[in-house]
Amino acid sequence: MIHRCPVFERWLMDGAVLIDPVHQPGSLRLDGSAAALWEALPTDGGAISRSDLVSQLTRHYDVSPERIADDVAAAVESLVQHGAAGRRG
Amino acid sequence: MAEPIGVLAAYGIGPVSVAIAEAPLEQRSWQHLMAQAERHRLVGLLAGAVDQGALPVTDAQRAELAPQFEAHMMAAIALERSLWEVDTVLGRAEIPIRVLKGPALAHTVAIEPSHRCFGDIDLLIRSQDLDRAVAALTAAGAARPLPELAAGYDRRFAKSVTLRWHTHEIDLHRTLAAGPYGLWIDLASLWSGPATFTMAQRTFATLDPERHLVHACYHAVLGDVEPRLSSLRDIALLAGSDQLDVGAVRALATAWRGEEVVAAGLQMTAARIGHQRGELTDWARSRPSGGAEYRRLAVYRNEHRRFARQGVAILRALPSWGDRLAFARAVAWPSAEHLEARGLSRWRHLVRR
Repeated sequence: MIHRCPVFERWLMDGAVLIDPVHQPGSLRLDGSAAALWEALPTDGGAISRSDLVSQLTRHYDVSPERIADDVAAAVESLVQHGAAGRRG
Repeated sequence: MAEPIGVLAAYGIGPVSVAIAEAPLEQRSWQHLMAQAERHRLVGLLAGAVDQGALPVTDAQRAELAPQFEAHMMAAIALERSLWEVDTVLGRAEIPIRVLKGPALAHTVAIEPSHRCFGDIDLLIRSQDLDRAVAALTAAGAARPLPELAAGYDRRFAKSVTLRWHTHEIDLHRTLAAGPYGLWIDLASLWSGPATFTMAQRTFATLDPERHLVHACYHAVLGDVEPRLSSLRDIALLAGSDQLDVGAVRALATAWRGEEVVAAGLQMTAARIGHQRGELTDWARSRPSGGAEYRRLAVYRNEHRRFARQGVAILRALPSWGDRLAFARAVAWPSAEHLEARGLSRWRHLVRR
C-alpha cells in the first residue's frame, strides 16, 4: 500500500509539482509520470494499492499496464527514497 | 484600456473570467508585465493565468516565466515548512497562535494556493504570551536581530517582534497595525471565531473572513504608502466571498475605530481591481468622512517623517499618562543593546529624532 506522507506542495505549470516532505531534508520536483503518480495518491491520509494505482493511471495514459507498472515501481522507489511517499502493509 | 497588470490582479475574481490578452504581448510589454508581477507579488497568478490559457505566451516567454514562478513556489513551501516548525515549538510551549496573511490566505481565499506568493510568516500572539513566545523560539534556534526597545515595550506597545528562523523572517504580531489604529483594536476580539486551514496534514487556526478582511484593509492602507496589488486582490477575494457577514465587518470597523481604514481599503480595491460586493462598496463610498479622519490617515499615507508622526499620534492615543510616559521614555531612551544592534550611539539617537 502506498500513501502520501505529510508534505508541502505546489503545482507548477505543465503539470509538474514541487514537494517538500515533513521531516525530510530538501525538496523534490516531479514531472511527467511521477507527477501523475503523485496526483493519483490519496491526500486524505488513506492508502492505495499498487494495482489500483496502476489501473488508475492506465485509464489516463495510452500505454500498456505493464509499462505503467514499471513506471510506478520506479517512481515509488524514487519517492520513498526522498521520503515523499510512505508505504503501509 | 486597462493595464495588463490590473487585469491580471483581477483574474478569476467575479462571475466572468476575463482574458488578459488575445495574443502574446510584444516583448517589451511582456518584460514590463513580468517586472510588475514581481513587484506586486503576482508571479504565481501570472503563471496560473498562462497555464489556463488566459494569457497566450510565446515559448520564449514561457521559458522566462517558469524559473521565476518555480523560485516563488520553492520559497512558499520552504516558508510553510518554517511555519510548521514554529507552530511545533509554540505548541509545545502551549502558546496559541493565529496565522495571518500569506499562507493563511493562500490556503483559504486564493483560488489556487500557488496564486498567492508571500515572503515571510506572520503570526498573531496574545500580548501576555509575546515574551514567552520570543523566549521559546530563540531557545529553539531563532535569532532576534533587533533587541527589545526597552523592558516591557513589546507586550505593551509594539505592533510586532521580528525573528529570523533559518533564513526566513517570522513576525510575531501583538496587534494588526502600527500607530494609533493598532492601539484601538480590541485585542481580545481578534481571538473570537477562528477559522482553520490544513497544511501538511496539520490544522492551523487563522482569522475568520471578517477579521481577515479588516486586517487586509489595514495592511493595504496603513502599511506601504503604495500598496501591492496582491494586497488589494486579497481584499477583493475576501469582500467577494458569499460567506462574508457584511454586518460583522462593519461592526468590527466601528468597534476598532477603523471605519475610514476599511472604507479606504475597499475604495482603493474597487478602483484598481473592481469585483466587490455592492453593499460593502456602497457603504464605503457613501459614509461621511471629515477632516479628523483625513488627518489620522495622513500619518500613514505620507513617507515624510512617518515614524516621528506616528509616535506623536501614539502618544495622543494611549489611554493613560502612565502609558504615555513609559512609551516616551522607551522611544527617547532605548536599551543599550537595542542601540548597539542599530549601530547608534545614544547621542546620535537623540539628535536624529
